[in-house]
Amino acid sequence: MMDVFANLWLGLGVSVEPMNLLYCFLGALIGTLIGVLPGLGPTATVALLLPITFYLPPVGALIMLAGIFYGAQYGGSTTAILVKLPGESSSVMTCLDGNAMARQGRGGVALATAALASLFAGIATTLVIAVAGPPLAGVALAFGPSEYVALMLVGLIGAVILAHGSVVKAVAMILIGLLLSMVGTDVNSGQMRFTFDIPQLYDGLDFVPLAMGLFGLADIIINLEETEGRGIEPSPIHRLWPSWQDFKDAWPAAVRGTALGAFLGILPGGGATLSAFSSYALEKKVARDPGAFGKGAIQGVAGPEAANNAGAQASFIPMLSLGIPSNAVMALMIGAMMIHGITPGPQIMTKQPDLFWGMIASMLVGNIMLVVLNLPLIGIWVRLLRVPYAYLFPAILVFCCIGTYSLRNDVFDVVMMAGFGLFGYVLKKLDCEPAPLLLGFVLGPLLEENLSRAMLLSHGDLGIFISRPISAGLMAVAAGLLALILLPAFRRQREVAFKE
Amino acid sequence: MTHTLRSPRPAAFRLRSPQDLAAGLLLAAIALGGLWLARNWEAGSLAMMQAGFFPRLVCYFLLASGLATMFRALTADAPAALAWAWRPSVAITVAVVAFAALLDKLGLVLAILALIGIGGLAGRPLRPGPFTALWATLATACVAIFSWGLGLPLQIWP
Repeated sequence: MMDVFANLWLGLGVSVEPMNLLYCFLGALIGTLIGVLPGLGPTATVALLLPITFYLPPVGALIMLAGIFYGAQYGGSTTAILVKLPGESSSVMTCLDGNAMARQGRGGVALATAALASLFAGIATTLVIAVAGPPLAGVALAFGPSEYVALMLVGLIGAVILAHGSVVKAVAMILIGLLLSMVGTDVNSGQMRFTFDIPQLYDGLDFVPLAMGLFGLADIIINLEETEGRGIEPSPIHRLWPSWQDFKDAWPAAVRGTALGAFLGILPGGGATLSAFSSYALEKKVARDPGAFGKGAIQGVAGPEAANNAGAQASFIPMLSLGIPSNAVMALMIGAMMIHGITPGPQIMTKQPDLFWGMIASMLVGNIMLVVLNLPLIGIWVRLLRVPYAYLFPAILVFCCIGTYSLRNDVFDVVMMAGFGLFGYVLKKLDCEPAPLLLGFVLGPLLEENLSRAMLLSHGDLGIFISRPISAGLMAVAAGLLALILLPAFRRQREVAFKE
Repeated sequence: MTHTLRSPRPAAFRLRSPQDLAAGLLLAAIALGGLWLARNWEAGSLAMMQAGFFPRLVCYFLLASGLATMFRALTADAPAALAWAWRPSVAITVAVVAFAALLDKLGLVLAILALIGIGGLAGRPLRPGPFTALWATLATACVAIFSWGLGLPLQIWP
């Protein structure tokens, strides 16, 4: 135990060196400013800014990249709350209640809640990493294909809970998401699936045009329809900061979200996204008034925000200690480390303790810096909500289009976005919700790959899911959730809850 | 918006929710289309899944949920009419497609003009003065951020 603090102290010493502090600050600042732009999520931001860090010393470069990553993540939440544009999959849940709060004039409260929940999650997860990081990395190894399949089933069934209205339609949305995730070249056989001989589809669909279309464009159409072209009136801002009551409502959600995120983030693939979705479903499940969700429940912001930040940070554990990148950002980080001549893996802690602990301590410093940086900005962001809709929506259109274009410098993605916008509007008309679709889309490739791997290992025996303890446990949770959803009594309650 | 449960008294089969019927038809159509596209892909077996296995599995489930939704159209009430807002949906879609078509040919500044010009028709169009100001602001901001700041290879002028 003393070791941990000694190490953390060493790390803190490294990260508060003036130059490193400056890199951390610059990273968080640039990350936030670019992450705020719709379409540029953490992956795109880190990829864009990677070359800058080539000129820095190794420790400084990694600290700055980590800063860019947190900044971009938080910037993405800001856009999600203000204009309902999720720049990446883990901020989809923040959109729902965060934007609803912003429309009620509680945008400042939502932004502050997101910042504080992220800060709490960041600090808690950093301590978890410091105390139990290396042993925790073993969890990722204990997860075989069957465990992944079971975990994803839990996540997908959980996504049904978070949808309003019809259970069947929510399931159908997940299935459409899975179907969309198959577009492209099948990794195992090289078979082209659903590509219609369009070369741009050979690599599959990207999340950004899909999410921008389903949320951003469809939302503009719906807003204009509902107000007959006038657009939503900016509601007066009641208060900028969370009240004591808000604080009391939000903190248990943030704690639960952190726990979920710290655990799920360790697992490669979709960690931050899955934890944000699960946290939202959990909050809705434990809330006294589940009907308030989707209409500006503060727990619906605090939980997922804490979860996605904790998840994002926990994803450093397998990266640093095993050299396994759990998502695209971590793969970029490993690339950056390689360029500086560092090979991530078990030996990094013993060979380069200043780098390992410096980076972990910089997470602590970076999170605090992010809040210090962003709390004063809230006043400015909220003023953006006062812009009349006739000016705001063309601006959103422009940023959506350029953000999507910048992914691959291909206008094809922009056309895809237009198509998904129309599709999103159709879904809204049919009372289907797009959030479960996005989760299915994100988890689809992992689900397919692990399902086929699990079946290959067991020679087609489905019993593998209940013969291994972890996957059996997860399957039991999935079955429990399913029963909960299908029980008629519970269903009637749902109908009542959503009536008003 | 939400459905109420079916009342206990027996009702003849009549359409109570056109919304659910349309949703069910759409889902079933997507599922059948997926199955048709996947018709030549090898499915393999449970132990040796091939490229066609997962798409078919998902499509069958989707077909089932489509049929269930159609059945629901007979049992649960929902708004009778399906209103469709032509003006915003068409204007927004055409504006974005126009932007995509013009960007490589006429450059960013004119593509933005087309985007906000056509897109503006979705709501109540701005008067010429404010419109020009908005165009100038957005074009300047985009060039500054994306072209100069982030160094994206964007064509700015024709």
